[in-house]
Amino acid sequence: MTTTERTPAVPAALSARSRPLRWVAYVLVAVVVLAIPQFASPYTNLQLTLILVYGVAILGLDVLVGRAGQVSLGQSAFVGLGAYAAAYAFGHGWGPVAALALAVALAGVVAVLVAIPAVRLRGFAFGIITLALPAFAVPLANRLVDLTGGSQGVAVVATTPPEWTGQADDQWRLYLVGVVAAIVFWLVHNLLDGRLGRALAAIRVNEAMAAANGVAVHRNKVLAFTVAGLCGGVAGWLYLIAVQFVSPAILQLNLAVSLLVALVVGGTRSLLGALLGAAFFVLVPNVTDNISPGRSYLIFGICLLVVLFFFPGGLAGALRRLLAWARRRIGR
Amino acid sequence: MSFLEVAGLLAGYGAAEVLHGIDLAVAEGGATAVLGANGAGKTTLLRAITGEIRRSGRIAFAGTDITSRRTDQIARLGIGHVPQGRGTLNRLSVRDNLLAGALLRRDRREVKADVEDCLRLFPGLGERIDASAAALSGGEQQMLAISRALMGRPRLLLLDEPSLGLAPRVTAEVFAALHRLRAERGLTLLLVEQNARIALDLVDAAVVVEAGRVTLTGPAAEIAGDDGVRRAYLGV
Amino acid sequence: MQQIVDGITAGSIYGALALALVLVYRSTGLVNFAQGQMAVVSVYIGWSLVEIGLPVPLAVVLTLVASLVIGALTERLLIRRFEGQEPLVAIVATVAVLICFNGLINLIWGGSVRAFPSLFPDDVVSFLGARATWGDVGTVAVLVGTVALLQLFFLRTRLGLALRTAADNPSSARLLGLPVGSLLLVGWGLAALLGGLAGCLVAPSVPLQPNMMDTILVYALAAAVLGGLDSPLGAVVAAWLIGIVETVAGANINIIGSDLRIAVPLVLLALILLVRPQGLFGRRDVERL
Repeated sequence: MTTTERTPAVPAALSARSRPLRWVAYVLVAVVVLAIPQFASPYTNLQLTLILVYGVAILGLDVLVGRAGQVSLGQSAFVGLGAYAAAYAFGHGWGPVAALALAVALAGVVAVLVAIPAVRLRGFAFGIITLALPAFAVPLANRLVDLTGGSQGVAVVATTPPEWTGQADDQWRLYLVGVVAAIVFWLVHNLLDGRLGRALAAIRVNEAMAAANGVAVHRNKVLAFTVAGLCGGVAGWLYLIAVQFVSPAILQLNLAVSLLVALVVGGTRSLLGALLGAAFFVLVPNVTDNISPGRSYLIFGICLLVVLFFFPGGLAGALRRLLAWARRRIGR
Repeated sequence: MSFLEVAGLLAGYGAAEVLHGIDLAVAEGGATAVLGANGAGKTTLLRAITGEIRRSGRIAFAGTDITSRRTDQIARLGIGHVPQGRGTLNRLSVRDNLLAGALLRRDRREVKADVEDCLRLFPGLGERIDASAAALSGGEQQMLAISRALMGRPRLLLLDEPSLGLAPRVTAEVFAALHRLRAERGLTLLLVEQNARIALDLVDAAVVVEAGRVTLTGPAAEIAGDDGVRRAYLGV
Repeated sequence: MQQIVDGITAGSIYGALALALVLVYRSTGLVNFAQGQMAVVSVYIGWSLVEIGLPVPLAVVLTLVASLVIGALTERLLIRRFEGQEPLVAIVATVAVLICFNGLINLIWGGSVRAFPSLFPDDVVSFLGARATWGDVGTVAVLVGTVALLQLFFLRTRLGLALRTAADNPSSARLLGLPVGSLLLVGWGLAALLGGLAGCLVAPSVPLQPNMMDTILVYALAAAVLGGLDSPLGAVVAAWLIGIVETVAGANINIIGSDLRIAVPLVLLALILLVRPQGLFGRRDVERL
């Protein structure tokens, strides 16, 4: 016997009235969002940029983890790969588009090569294998000193704001990252809206059942892994744009685990969740550091537990419930 | 005072209410069948009795009110439940499944004797005693699930659709065993079944549930003779 | 030969922690990323006990008891909430526990490096052309003993059967009258005890600091998965294998320095899993649709 929870239906009259209202809201939000970098400090702009960067990485991870249901501990390797590729490109005088192409291509190729054998494994076995990616990547980055600058890392000047825009470095980067991130989000959203999304959902719920129903499980899992890797690559390029520096630290397992945690905190299977998770990941450690530098890690852990305890479905889920509650009250 | 008494039972999942006030009674040593179409609420009824879902109303077993008790507490009072889909412990062997049913008992020698009894009741299990439960056929798993429930020496046995997914011959085997259990041990049964014919053959009384309500109740012969039942469930 | 002995010794440490991971997985179906950190907490408690003057063996025994309590409490208070939900959320919960314990250690004991005394005498023993300290021998012996005890426990005792039943199918277990919640508590407590044991075994030879178990955890995870995640024997055998391969490769293949050593077991894991996805000793999951 199955029952599904029904969310209360919005009364018809209200929804008809709210349509133009919603568009007004969207425009307002867009205006505010575009205006913020003009007034905010460089530090704030950097934080916002980083949120977008990690948001893209988490979005990619969500495709594999949230939608296809495969636990992955390797996302940081793709982000790092993208960042290093971009650094190499910029360092050799390539333009930003070419650098992005390199980052994405490399990340995609590695993702496919790893995915094809790896997706035959189930559950935790797959997860531990993905762990190998950062485990390999960090020493590799340390050793290929010519390509990567070793443990010191590499600093590049990735982009400078064109004269006619009159923007400062931090503002320009925020806009650039914002536009690219928005495009990636839109692409992934469309990708998931179609067959891939449905196939992944079937796989997540029950692989054997999905296979019995004709879903090409293996191929779709490879696809999901590749999308995750590609997003990671883009995030790496975005990271370099934002920070203009890359070192082996970005490849580490710590980051991969943090991205996974951020995904759950923000809310799986949700575009907004990816951004909220990224925001949590970028902002909360600063806050806890300000509260008490010695106890920062502990407080962060407690915050995590609080979110996990009280907000199943993550921050995005909580927001959705809040909005539904608000809508019900307005509807009365 | 009936052995199992259900009064005004309301139960459901989440926001959805599935049972809208069920009344039911089973005498000690008796057997009652719960008939009805898919989605009528039969499985929900059994799950409500063993406390697996939220419920309100009154459920009493041998005089004890169990309406708000936990599942494992209810099981310890002597109610065995063979769930729909068997619920076998798939990573354990057949032997371990049976022993798991007797984990709360302290009488080791009796437990061994009971294992022998189960194997006598279902000879097919004996050959597979060391095999993993996952490797058994549907019919064998059903027999295993019933045996496992019996290992706890329940006073009341709830069975949820034992014939589901089984070939007619295997179903006949299972029900023959149930007949023997009634005859030899006087076991009290509450049986949910879609196969009305074979169920009415086993039980003393029956209850028809439709859309979460009891629409008909009475002795098995009467229910079997009812025109509505004959058309809907007996294919006559 | 020396390398093999060293490998087995290293592998025994991974194996002890891997046993804890397997125990948690067998009883609750979760992989506990915080297992290493919980072990570190135990070791610090042991260190404090020694600092206040208790003899080392007594300190270790008390530490194990404390580990049991910590494990049980963690399950009851922090993890219980997540057990029914999707495995991803539960895993992230264990990561949150990891972070909290790490922070707690830093808070109570600070991050500076300390030394933990050994249970065994320091002398070196020689056999078959290799040298090992009594500590190393003791570690291996304790591990072997523990595995034997665990197998006996799970396969032959009623509590072991109860734990396996609750892990296999919690709702069926409840229908059989088993107090599933309490069983999960016991499972975590025992696992934490094993983790504490692993910690006490490794602590004398590794600087005592909050992050000491981090790489060991990765090895232990690899060993547990390689061994099949629900097989204690498999986890230990896999751990020894990993220890040996890592030591031999690290010593003989020049490009593998100390930083790439961790890659070796992971490659091994990948290769073996490709051929045998259920691990060395795992059972194929047969699912009836």
